[in-house]
Amino acid sequence: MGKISTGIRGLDEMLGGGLIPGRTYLVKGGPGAGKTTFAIQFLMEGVKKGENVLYVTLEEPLVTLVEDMRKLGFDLNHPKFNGIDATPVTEKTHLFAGAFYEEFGESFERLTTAIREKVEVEKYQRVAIDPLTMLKLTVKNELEYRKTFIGFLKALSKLGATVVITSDLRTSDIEEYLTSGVIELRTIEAGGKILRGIMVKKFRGSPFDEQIRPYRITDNGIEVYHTESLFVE
Amino acid sequence: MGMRTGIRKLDILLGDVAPGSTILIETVGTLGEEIATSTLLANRGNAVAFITPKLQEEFERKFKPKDVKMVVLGRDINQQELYQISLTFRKLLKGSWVAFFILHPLLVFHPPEIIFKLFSELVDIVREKRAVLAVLLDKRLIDERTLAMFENHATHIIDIVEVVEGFRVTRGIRIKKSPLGGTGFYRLDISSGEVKIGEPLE
Repeated sequence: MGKISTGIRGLDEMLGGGLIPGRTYLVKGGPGAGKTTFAIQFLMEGVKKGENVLYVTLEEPLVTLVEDMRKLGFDLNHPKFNGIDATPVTEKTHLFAGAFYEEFGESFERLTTAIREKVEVEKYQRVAIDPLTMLKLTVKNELEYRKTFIGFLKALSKLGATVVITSDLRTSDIEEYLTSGVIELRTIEAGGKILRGIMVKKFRGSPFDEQIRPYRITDNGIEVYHTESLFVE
Repeated sequence: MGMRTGIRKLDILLGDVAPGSTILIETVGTLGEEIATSTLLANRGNAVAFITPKLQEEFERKFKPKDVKMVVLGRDINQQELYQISLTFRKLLKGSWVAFFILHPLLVFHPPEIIFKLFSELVDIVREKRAVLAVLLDKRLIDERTLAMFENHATHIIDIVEVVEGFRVTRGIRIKKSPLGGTGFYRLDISSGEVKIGEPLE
């Protein structure tokens, strides 16, 4: 089975070549762990290969992201990169008209439908939703959320898009269960310094490196040192 | 021919240090740094040293920069990020090279068991790359159990002791482990940076 690069060479090694296309993956991590950088790096790898990609930001305004990501060498103004700003402070867009942040409680299904339709029309090969946590927090009915989420994943899978959704560590039990793979970004304190470790917790359909490996957020994005150990207790 | 320390009698006692070997120098404080200096000089051009800033100053007086590649712990590499050490080690080390590593500063930041894990990783890298590793370890910083774990992984062990009787200080050196087997203690004299191995000690 062919695999696609995550844009992070060391992680591709951990995954035995990369992600299986057409599936959805969850990237978990606390604040500052690099979830957004991960999502952008994943999408920009697609852009490099001439793919159309879609990024939906629900937390950090796109304008700020464009600036931050430029420093890491990622041009979010590239014509193949389509960014949708769905943060609470932004203007309504055609995608999220009627499915705005304040209304997510009632319109989670409408939002996922809108994304699905956009992927169908524009033939996006890579999609990132960052972070899903924001959506989930506003949904009152867990069962409804689960049903909608499963339908959403199935629809995206049929369309052949590879999807990365990011989530905060504490609120992603259902997503972990429902997605094809889970990658966790951890921060560990050692001797007064933060150490960063990346772990593949689940990867359906492929063997993978089960060890936690060190990573850094560098001037070029995330770098994973797949041959090294973290050396922590 | 295997690696040489540049100290004739020590080379005879150690026997052949084949590519892929690890020499553990168990010492007290900074005793043994002179052996490292001599070893690096004897292998200049093919040597890398992972050292403290203080040792770097000393080495810079003795070596030309091209002689020994120096990686300073706490400056070039963060001592908390041990993976940076194994990563740098893996990238730098080449076959027939000699690497010197001082473990003391790391034992201040990490439990001995963690440093042992790093050590075993370095031993594996050295074996794979067919290089030679010399490691200086202050044995007062770890317990006997952990020391035994280090010893199991080393191919050669040099043991340096210091005995104080009244105001008299006697220093001894022995080979605790090598393919030739161990030896008894010999008198160790270090003056002006020169290492002399004398007569056997009773």
